Amino acid sequence: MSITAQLNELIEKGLLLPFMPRSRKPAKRCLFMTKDAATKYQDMNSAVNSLVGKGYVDAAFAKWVLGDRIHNDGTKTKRGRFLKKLSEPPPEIWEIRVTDPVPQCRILGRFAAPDVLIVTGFYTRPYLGKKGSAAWVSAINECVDGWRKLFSEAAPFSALSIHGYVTENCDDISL
Amino acid sequence: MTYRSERREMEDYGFARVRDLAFEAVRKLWRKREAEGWTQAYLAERMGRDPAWISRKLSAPGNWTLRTFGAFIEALDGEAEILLHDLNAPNLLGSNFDAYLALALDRQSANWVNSPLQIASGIETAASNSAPVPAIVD
Repeated sequence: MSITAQLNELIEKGLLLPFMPRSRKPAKRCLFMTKDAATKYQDMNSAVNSLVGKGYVDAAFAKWVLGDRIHNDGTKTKRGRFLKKLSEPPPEIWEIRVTDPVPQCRILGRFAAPDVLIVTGFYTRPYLGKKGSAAWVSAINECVDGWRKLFSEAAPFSALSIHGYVTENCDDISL
Repeated sequence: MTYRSERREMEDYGFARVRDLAFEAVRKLWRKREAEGWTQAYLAERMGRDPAWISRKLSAPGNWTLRTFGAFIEALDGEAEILLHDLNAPNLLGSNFDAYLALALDRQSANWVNSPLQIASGIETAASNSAPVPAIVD
């Protein structure tokens, strides 16, 4: 079954929810939430919504869907980087970094295809703690489990460079 | 959720979007100047700032104010122009679901998740105001 057919089937079953901001601009990229992620996203009492603010999450999603410039310069400095691939294993876990508000927020997900991101969870940065913490491991496992529930053993999309994942308007040049 | 927090979400969303778009516009002009031979040290000198401050500001829009934008725009020999769209006006461009349609997504059958602005204002999206789009079958 093609990824398109799989996505359509999951959407029809209500297991994947597409996101579209209120805008006149065309959607250049796709963002879907798993049912669990959408429940958290819509829960105004969730840690992210009550501490970070849903408006900042929506702005990050709008930036992605509307095709705004994405920064991923590949250097050690993470400052200004919107999208980041987490260290393996497990493979192909990505985070959207919402760094403006205090506390910050991290949104985990995987690519189903170029420019098609499946969001599996939302976490405040203080909750995740240091790299390798139990909370990080748990968040990453939630991402893997969320993916498996939908796509079974099908591997997430993989590419050799950031331009394979984000086909347009992606900045990989260090400042 | 209270009325007040809905409004706060709208404010956060609006602020983040405007700030991101303005930052990208400045960064785009900086890239152009950089290609023309400008250095961060030269820009720092033009702005009367420390090069580390320039580097920090150009790497992320955190803590940018209107004054920061104005300072960069002037120092980069740029001119700002602001264009606001009326989201309540009919969208003459038709559908804006292009990327989703490329996936052959059936718009009618999906449960769309949208920004809080729609929920708060009760106004349909510009997208949903556009003409119905048939699903594409692969």
